[in-house]
Amino acid sequence: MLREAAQWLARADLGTLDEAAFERWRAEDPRHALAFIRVSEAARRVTTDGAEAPAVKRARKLDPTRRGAIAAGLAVFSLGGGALIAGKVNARDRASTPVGGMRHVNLADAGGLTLNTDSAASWKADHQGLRLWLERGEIALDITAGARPVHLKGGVVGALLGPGRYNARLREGLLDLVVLKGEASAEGSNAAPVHGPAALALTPERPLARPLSEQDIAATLAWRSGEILFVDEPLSSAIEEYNRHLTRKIVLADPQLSGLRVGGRFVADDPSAFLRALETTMNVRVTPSQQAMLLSRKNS
Amino acid sequence: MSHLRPIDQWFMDQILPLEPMLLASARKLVNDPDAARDLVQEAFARLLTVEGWAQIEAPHPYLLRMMRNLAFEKLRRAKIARFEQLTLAEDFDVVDESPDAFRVLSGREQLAQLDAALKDLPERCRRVFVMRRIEERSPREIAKHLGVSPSTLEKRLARAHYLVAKALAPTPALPLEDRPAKTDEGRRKNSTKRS
Repeated sequence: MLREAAQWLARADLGTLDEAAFERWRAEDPRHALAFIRVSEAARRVTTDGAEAPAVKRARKLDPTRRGAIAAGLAVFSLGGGALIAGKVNARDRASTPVGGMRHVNLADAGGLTLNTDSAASWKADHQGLRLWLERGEIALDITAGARPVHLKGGVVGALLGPGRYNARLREGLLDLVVLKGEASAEGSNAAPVHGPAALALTPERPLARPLSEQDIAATLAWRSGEILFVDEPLSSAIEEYNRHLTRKIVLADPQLSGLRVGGRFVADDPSAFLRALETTMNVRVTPSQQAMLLSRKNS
Repeated sequence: MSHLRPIDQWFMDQILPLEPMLLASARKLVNDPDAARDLVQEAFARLLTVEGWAQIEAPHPYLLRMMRNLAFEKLRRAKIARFEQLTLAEDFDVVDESPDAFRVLSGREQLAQLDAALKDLPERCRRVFVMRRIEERSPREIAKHLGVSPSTLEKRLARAHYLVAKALAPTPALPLEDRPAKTDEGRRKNSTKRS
């Protein structure tokens, strides 16, 4: 039955579906309808939810045509020119936060900057406007209306940000830029700017734009109020996220737990509610040690 | 253009994510994995014929009750009833009330599963799937690019859809730690109205 449903779905995909025949087949037996739901959902998950999975990423990278990549929801920019040479380090203002800290800084008339846990940023105003370097961690950036565009740099990549609201996070050589409101264009690129809400992953190769869901936006905003928001995240990445805020880290002692999916809103600097929820609702035991909180499986 | 009706969309969003948990629950009613799968499948098929599906506010307890009734129907028809299963089925439709902020949504390593589903496809099927579904190229372009007829294209894509769906077939959720059973009748009756 799944085979038949797959056949119908392939026809629908290719525009060769005989609508009337399909409707007849679907109405014939609820198991037919169910099989069609299953194949549709499986294809959707591989295509959409699996977009982060290596196979899909590779598939996307393999695509040599610009057209194909755009169709896949990625914007392709040609990254011309080299990286800009950063200004004199000693002339910059700088702010940083320790693990578990958060700090707000006013950027003269350009707007405001909030540093998340374990983060560092420096900035400098010159005739071109404000230049801002994200050196470590994550920042939220508000650029006031009427202010000049801000040059944001993180690692070797950068972007020009118009008035609006942004979130930038540095991770493994890429700058993850979330445009909540405003307009951002990747540095060295002559492609059209990205308008919020959208996200832009700036990599040395090329910037990748992606649309933002309500959940992405909520998760991005959560830390500004000292919260952490997980929406159906694997436990391993939830812990990674939490550990950014903790001096006493959470450690997965049993790798088998890493794929459990978790969700919820928690206080960023106090993991006790999070750990309690893990213990009461999942097959997880929490064992505190001096340096860490160890997570293992309860005996089932 | 989507060929999904409102009920299909609802089913995808609200019902399919419950399947790992329903499969785990089904194992309490029937004693082998295949029978559990059939039971869930049957409840699903039946749910798709329910006229008032849009009014079902708590599908999880609704489906559990449906599964229990189906299992009982089967037991009544069976020649030898298994008594131990009837007793296990007590309190079956009481959904474990986890704190709202936290719940197990599905099995482990979903991403790896999605990745494998695509990677394990035969090369020829994967190419068609990727070109159509991920790169969203036109059927004509794909047929030309691969130098195959439209019917070959259809066969390969159909096979890809079939294998992907098979690879993503849900597995039972990990059993939650046993908690005191809730026996309060009123609560149980209300459970269908809870949103």
